[in-house]
Amino acid sequence: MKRKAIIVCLFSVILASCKAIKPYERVYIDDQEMELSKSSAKNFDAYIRSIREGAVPSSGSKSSGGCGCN
Amino acid sequence: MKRNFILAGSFALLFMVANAQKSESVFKKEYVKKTEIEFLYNHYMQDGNNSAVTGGIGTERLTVVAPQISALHIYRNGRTLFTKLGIDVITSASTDNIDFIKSSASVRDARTHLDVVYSRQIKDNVAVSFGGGFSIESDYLSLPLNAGLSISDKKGLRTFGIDFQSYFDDLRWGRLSPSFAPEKLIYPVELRTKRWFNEYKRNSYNLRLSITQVLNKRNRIGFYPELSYQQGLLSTPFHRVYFNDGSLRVENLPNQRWKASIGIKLNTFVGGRTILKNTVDLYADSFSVRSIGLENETSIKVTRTLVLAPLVRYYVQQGSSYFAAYKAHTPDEEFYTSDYDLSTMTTRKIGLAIRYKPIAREGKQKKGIEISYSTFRRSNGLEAHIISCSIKCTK
Repeated sequence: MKRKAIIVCLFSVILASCKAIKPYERVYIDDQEMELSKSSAKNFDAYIRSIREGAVPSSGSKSSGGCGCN
Repeated sequence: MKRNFILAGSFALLFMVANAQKSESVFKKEYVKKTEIEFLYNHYMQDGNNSAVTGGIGTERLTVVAPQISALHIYRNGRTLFTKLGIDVITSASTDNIDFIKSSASVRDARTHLDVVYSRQIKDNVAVSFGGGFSIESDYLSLPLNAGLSISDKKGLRTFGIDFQSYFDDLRWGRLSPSFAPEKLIYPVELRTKRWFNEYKRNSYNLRLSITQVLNKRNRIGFYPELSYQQGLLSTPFHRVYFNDGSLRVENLPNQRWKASIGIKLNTFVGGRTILKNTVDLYADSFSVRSIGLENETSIKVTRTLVLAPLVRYYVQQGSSYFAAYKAHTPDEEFYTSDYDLSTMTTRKIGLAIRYKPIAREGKQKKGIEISYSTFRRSNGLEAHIISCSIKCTK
């Protein structure tokens, strides 16, 4: 119950902090470094992590299979 | 009379608004034809002393050389075609111990993988994508299929994506042999008197969501929940497990596995040159593995064209209940493994990426270079180094 309350509070804070942004205010947001997607090098890193760690990273790009059994 | 004026004025206003809307609806989005080609070279080296091939003891020395080429083509109508081809050349001291003959055939392997993804806009802000491909190595064939849908709001401040991925895998050995025909599962040399598994297939299904939101002028957040289900042969047939009574068997894991994870990313632009990229990854599965990963990458714009990005990552994992070290399993256990990837551990990682993107003249080819190095150390002593070099050309 306590955990759910924390999650609800967290989402409320995030949603409350959303603001309308005018086109001329997007200089920082539109910067290439602000992109949330991963580069190809980072995808290889995520692939290695999915093998060397028991957990498969969320949003990781498992672009193709492979046993990773080495 | 006054009422008539007001009515006429209202109609005129409505007409103007209707016309304005009409002129807006006539607007058609056009895409710029673009081709992006990327050459990527990855080099991975690791060493440790807990190989699952030798039951949780023995060398884990491994080198992977993984060149890759990818091409993204955007057509004028907004359709895109992405193709990626890569070869991983693997030199592994641990798999060399499947048969105990030094530098035997199992010491070297190669994985070839191809992925193709086609996407198209079905509405202004709605895109669908379909993909497929293959990944092949001597003891593994994987056939991935995926479909996705992404929706963004008109201002481009919020996106929602849903992806369904499936992998159909075959774990039989012999695909890269001269006969090019899969034969059978390969067990450790001293355990080949018995057929340990009747199954050789492994199917995986992933449902992945992504929700991204621009919070304000300097913050962008993304949520990536994911649910996966695996079914089939989830054990690796050449992993040994030594028991406390001195007996030896092949690793045995359940033939079903559920995985749930969520990744949260927050990118923040601080000042005029620094971007903080923070990531939290939470994970749980039906093998009782639980983990949390925290990562920070700080991109510093040294000049307009040069970016330095140091990275730190800390990962904590509660291991699977099926894991035990060398000679720690008891013979009455139903499922057992000595694979340290499933053990309780922490991992510390640091790295640095350098990105250089010269400013290109209008209509000229754009280029970008990225070189990165990272190293991580696991609490059980495994150490690894990753070097990547990418050259991207866009026209």
